[in-house]
Amino acid sequence: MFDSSEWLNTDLNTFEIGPYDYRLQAPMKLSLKADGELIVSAAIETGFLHKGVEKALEIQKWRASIAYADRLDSSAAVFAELALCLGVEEIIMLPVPPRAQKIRIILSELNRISSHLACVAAVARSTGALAVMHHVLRDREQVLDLLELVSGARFSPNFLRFGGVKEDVSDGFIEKMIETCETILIRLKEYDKTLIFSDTFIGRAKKVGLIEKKLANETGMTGPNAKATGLMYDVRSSSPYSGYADIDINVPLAPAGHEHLGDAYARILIRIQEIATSIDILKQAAEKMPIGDFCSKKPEDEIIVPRGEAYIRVESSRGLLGCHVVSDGGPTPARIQFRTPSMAGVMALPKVLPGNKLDDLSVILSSMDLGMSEVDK
Amino acid sequence: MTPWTSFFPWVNDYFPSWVQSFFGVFIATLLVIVPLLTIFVYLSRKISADIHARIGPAVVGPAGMFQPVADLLKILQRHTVVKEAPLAPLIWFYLRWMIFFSTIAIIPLGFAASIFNSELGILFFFWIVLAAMLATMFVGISHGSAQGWFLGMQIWAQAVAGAFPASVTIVCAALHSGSFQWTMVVDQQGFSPLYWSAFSNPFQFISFLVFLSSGVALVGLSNILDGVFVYNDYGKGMRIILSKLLYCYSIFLWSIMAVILYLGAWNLPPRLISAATYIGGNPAVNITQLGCLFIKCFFLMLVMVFLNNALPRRRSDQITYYCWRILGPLSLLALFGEGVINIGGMLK
Repeated sequence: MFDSSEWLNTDLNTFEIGPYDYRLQAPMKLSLKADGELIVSAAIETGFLHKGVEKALEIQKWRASIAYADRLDSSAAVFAELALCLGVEEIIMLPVPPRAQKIRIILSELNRISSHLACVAAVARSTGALAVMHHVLRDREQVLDLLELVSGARFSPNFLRFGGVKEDVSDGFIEKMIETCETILIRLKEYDKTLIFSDTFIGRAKKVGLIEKKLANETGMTGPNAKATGLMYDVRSSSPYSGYADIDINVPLAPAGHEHLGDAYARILIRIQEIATSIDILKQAAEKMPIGDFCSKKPEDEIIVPRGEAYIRVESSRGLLGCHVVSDGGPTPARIQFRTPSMAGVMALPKVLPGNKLDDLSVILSSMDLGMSEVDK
Repeated sequence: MTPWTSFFPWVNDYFPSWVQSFFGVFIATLLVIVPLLTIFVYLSRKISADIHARIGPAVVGPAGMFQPVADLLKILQRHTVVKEAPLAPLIWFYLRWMIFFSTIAIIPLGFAASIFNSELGILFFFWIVLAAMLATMFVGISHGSAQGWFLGMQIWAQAVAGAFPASVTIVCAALHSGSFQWTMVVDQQGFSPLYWSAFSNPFQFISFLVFLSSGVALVGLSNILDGVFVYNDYGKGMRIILSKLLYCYSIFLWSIMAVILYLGAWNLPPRLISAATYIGGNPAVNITQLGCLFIKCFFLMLVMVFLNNALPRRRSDQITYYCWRILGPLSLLALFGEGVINIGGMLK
């Protein structure tokens, strides 16, 4: 996994980093032991962003719970909303109109692009590529503008409803979305020139934060981090939901034997490719957008959920997001539990960090794109 | 007589030379260095903002021109909200600052405006920069933490790696001009780029590029520890200002060395000298020389700012590796080539 000839065999230094530190993307506490500048062992402590989301969901009425699901992770809020809505719809067997399904796909993919762009910006920042970071954030603004145009909010849209979505998309939205997609496709080529194929960036990211396929399997890692190790799993293609079955998805995967397999560079490459895939999905969704209702019932109506439970999986920007919804027939959920993808990354960290240099810590953490908000819940 | 007094010959009648030098440093700092760095801070912020697709300073003054002044006043009002720093790193922090700024005394600001014109001026200048790096290392080591030790040693390793090719290229430039004295180095060059050392032969050009690259490795160091300790541990307003000023000053220092060694320094076309003499005598010539020097210096500083903002940064060990494995051999090649040319010249 790493070259043991670099060990100095000196006394080990202990570094306590966090919960707030410029090298960390989100609050967490890392206890590192280092031999010189090589990390020997790592322990991680989480919980600094605990909000009690799951407990809060139990005391809200069903309709209000959607807004609380948003808070699971503000940078990928649509996925939690979607998982909750699909779960409740499965219990009450509520059909979702095809148009609403396509709108949900559009929102999900826009959110995925936004989340991946934020990750690329974080990696650019951690490698000192400040110009690229600002350019990526500028492009991300365009995606957030689209989310705002649909839902009125750039983050935490609270736009999905049981049985559909809150409102239909506004006139001209689809055209604007296609225009933005074309712009971002051009920008992706610019990122290739300024960051991805830059010798300096490759030097910073290659063979850094190596995650092996076995480790990804053991920790239940999914999403771009797992795909970068060569582990193929994407809920959108393996168990299509919410209308994804109608759409051709070209899931990016790091090929076996690739020189960057499992390292930070591969993780960024996969995310860049996923952005291109999302743009392709958005175009297909725009083409296949049917005419019809955007919700199978009045969005503002309160619903009655009969006794039952459902477990739903969706592909969030960070991997498999599971949602276990339990209803006892009352006005509030009996239990809502999320299986968050970043948790696997957190579990893998103590095995990923040893052997890497202290200077690479921020590159590793930013390339793994750990959403501590969804880990701490 | 210290050369700067040619502006004001009457001071020789009233003050001893050490007083003249003291006031020379004071005047150079107040009238030249601080205004220059203020303009540089503004321009670098504007340029980096443009590279980043941001607006940059735009609030205070026309086109945000007075933003550095406003920021200065704002930062001065900051209070310490964290624990007071231990004494030892603070002493090294201020010592490093003093060592760096002591170079003001030996910066040649024109033919007649050098405060201290030593026969080993170039080397003296270089060793002061290295001493400042040593003090930077002690800022980290005296911090009393593993992180401080680690960063301190890392900085020193990088400083030594950058200093080796830099020192070789300085010797190379001195070999070309036949002296380590600033004024002699300048005399060997002309106003036209064809007569600049950098373009006199291929080895001097290699030497120039190596000098600039090693400068990027060296001057970036002064900011590393500040990022970790000054802002996190003892971020009092004045210390932050000093750190930022130090960073800008170290870029200025390296640029002015590069301009004097390789880019023709303050040499002006004869007609311009005649015109300046006609208009205002010697002081006008000196001011024109100073302007010429600073325009070239500014250009190099802005190139450094551009590189700093546009490209990703290498890791410290990668920079060290780059300095030893690439810049080091290149600088030796330049020295060897220049030596061969010199011997060839002597044999003729």
